[in-house]
Amino acid sequence: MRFLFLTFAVLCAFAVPSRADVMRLELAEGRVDITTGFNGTSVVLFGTMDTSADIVVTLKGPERTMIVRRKGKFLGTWMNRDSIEFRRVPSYYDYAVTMDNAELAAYPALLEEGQIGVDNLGLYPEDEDESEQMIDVFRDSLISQMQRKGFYPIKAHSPQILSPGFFKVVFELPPGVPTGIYTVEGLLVKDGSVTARESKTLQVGQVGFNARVYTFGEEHSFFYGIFAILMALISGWAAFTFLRRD
Amino acid sequence: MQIYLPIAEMSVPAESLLFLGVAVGFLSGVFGVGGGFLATPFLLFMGIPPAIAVGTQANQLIATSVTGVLGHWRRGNVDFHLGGIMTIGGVIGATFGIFVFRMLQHFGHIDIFIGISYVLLLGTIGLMMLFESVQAVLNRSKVTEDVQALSQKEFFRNLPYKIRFGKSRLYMSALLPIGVGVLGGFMVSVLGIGGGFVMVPAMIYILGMPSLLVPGTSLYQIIFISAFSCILHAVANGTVDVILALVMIVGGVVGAQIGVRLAKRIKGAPARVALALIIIGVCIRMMVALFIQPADLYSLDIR
Repeated sequence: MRFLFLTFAVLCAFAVPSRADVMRLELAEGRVDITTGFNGTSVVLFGTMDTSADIVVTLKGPERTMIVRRKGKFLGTWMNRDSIEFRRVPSYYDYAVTMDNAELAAYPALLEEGQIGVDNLGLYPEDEDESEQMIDVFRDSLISQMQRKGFYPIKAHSPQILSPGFFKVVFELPPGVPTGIYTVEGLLVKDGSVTARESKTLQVGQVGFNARVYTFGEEHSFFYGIFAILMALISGWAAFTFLRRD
Repeated sequence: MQIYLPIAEMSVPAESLLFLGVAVGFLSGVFGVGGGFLATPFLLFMGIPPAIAVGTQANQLIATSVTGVLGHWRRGNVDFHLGGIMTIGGVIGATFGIFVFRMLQHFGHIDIFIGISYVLLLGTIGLMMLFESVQAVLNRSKVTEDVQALSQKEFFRNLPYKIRFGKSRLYMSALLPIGVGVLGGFMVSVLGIGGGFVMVPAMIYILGMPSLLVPGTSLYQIIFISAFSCILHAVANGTVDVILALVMIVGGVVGAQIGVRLAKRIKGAPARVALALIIIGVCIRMMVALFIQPADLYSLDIR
């Protein structure tokens, strides 16, 4: 115990001197609980930063494989013809920056490194045998569909500066938000280069009754099926017995 | 009020779900049909993924079929022997159906497959029903020809594995009811419908069953087939949402009660015209989706 404390103290001692290039980030809640009545929520985080620098905060959901399909005419009907599969796509993304668009555009390397903005998420298809042009069109469609679902932002948020060096960021999670481990990353930016960074994780998951149903269905799918059948049998029988049809 | 569906992992308005359940139950109360043919398309319109809609429908079908079969059983109108043989076919059809469903889903064609199947099924049944009921309303009593059932035709009589079904007074090859069962199982597992409006004519015109026994026997075998599909969907795809099913079942029970009370006051033939129009309406709605250029050509499939 004493050793741990000592180590901690030493670490702190090393961490403190470079105060100028420090940012701290903390989530108001480390997890988002999805209950039966869940109707979306906000993720609030606070942080401190060096006042002479800029900050970028991104929130990213668990990565999923996404397939974008395009319908085409086939025998008079509209059916899916072409498709492109994108791997490791964040299922949720939002960001907040203190800089405006013009300032950000001046640092393309920073945008790419920090994956700032939906156009810099690095979405590439697994097999690249499609034309560059087609990939671009499909990628844009992926982004706009995610924006329509409320999973990707239309534009950047700006952090609220509560007092010099102390900021607050609020991200909105819509009702159908993907579940899993989210990552919040804060970057301290000076003249287009990252001088400090900190990341936190956020757990988004179902709790209580919902979580039990989900894990039961996931881990014991056969018995879950049996349970579903029993529930249906009983309710069907009850409907007949207690509410006679004649 | 929003309700979060634990398996679908999405939040939907509980009122619309309940209302859909009531509407489906109402139809089953008034017309004696399962109503699955309305539930699945409307769940899809609400944005529930096809896999969840079909998997959950298999679950809900059990409840409605049990309620229905108990009444027929009480009146002794169920041929358990024939129903049991049909179940064998149903299990084969359902297994094949789940496989087809997964393949279609993998290649992104499940929506259009469901769409085309519904348009064909509903279009055929709706038009047939409309002609029949309009004729009945106009009081032109149709001459009912004594159609010979397919099972009594030369070729089918020579099929092997002949069984005597005492209750239905039939002596035919087991392959015929098994074949009809395969069709039923396939519809339950791919389209999420019990398919009473296909099974009932099939049992009358193909098997030649007495029409009194047909509804009860059809419901009886649907219980087993949908239970089997429900397990397969739960294990293979994890797409049975009990919360969604429960809300639909509750709505269905309420709707059926209202429907049954109303059914006593309305005449059979005009009611069948109404049902035919509803079926044709759903058919047209799905046909529009197939043939009109969609506003957005692109769709996103998140795995």
